[in-house]
Amino acid sequence: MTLKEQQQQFAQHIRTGAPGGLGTISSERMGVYRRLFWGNIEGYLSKILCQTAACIGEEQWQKLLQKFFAEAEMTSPIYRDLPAEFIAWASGQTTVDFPPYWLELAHFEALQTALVFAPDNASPAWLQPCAVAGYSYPVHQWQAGVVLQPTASFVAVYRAVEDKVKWLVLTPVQARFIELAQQTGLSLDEVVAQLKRELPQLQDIEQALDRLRQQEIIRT
Amino acid sequence: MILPASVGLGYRRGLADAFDAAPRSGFDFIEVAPENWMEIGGPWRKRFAAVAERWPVVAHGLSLSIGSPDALDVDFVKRVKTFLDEYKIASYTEHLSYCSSGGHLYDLMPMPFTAEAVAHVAGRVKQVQDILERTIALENISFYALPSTEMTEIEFIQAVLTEAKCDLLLDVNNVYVNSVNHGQYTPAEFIAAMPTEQVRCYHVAGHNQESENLIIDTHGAAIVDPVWSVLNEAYKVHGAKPTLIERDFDFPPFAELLAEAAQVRQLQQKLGAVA
Repeated sequence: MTLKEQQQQFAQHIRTGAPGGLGTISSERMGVYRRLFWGNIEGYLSKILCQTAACIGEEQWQKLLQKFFAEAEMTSPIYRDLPAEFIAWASGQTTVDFPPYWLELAHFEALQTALVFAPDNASPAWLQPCAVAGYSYPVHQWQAGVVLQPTASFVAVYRAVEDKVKWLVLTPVQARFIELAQQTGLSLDEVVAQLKRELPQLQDIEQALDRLRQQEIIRT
Repeated sequence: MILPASVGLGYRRGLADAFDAAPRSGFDFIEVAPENWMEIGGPWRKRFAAVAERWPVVAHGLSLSIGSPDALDVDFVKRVKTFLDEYKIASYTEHLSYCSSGGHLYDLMPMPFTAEAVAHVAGRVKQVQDILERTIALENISFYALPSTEMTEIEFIQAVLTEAKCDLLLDVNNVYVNSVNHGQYTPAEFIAAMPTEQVRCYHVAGHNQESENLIIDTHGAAIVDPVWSVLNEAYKVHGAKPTLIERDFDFPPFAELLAEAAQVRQLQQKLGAVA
């Protein structure tokens, strides 16, 4: 066996948790690896995505994580990217038994952690570090025991002054405004002008912006 | 500037308040994992920057995966360099191991101890050192299984250090753990076999003894007496060098870590008095 094959076999054995040992390695010692590696993945994801786990139920959650652990090819060397890796993988899975919004909920949860660490040098500089997500369900309203009804929702998850991560439900105009700002990196006035060109029928843009200022998405 | 006779503590988010309140003189440097602090903003960037003003910083990576069957992530190495340069970090160490195979697994797998693996690692070390413009040091890891016994662990590490011309981060806890888990050598034999001029620094930590012949390297407990003895042995053979206390879980009152740091200093001073 080549070095590459030896290593791939070892890693694969950890991932799939095949019973028994590996070559001369005892089942007990391979079990140690399996336990440590699984604990790393399961522990972090269950902590960051705790609402998602509750939403689909602990048993299903554990099953899904096992499959993720066995199959996923995680590309990021950064451990805190694990929730994003999980979501990327899970979006390719068939999960008809779960509430249809479970993955949007996971995305919303992961975003809140991601924004704690998001770089400071947001572009444009007059905007706080912020991510806008468009969801088909109002996942920000999720609680245990509540079944969500489909309602298109834009939610901004952002780091306000004092570094507190918050979220805010946006109107479609506000969502488009932030999207334009982040895409172009232009000044506030220029973004407003561009938005007015896009939506000439738009009446009260100042009111929409005031709310973003009050909520500390736009720096004042 | 980090002197040879010096002691450091691992900076972890769970210990951040304690570091902020700690006396500057309690230890000499801090160690961080680049992966946890690079490319971040917000509160943690500020806190890290403030701590990096108070103590010199060394970096101990997690995800380089130097021995991996996957291609070397050159882009990642460049990102690490940006981080090292930004905080003026001279010393970057990693693990003589791999943590990816068909994607990352975020924990350390043991290298097969073979000539092929020596050549593989040595080639990649050269590539990494060229990008980082730094000589790196690789750590002897704890392991629980031996995928190949073509060479012994000692022979393998010696061969890598000879071929790769990199330094060694001598983890004395791992020496002890492996001596128990595999019974292939005594800690003193391992220490004596390492090339002094390539020993850059030491790690010392606590562990979890699961059974008579199985210790898990958890970094989640106090340093035990046998490991203090291995550290002392290493000092006698290779001299005092920057020594890092690793504590990643089950954080004790900070006074206990400062007491361990004081104990490291005491060992280093005792050595100086003898020499």
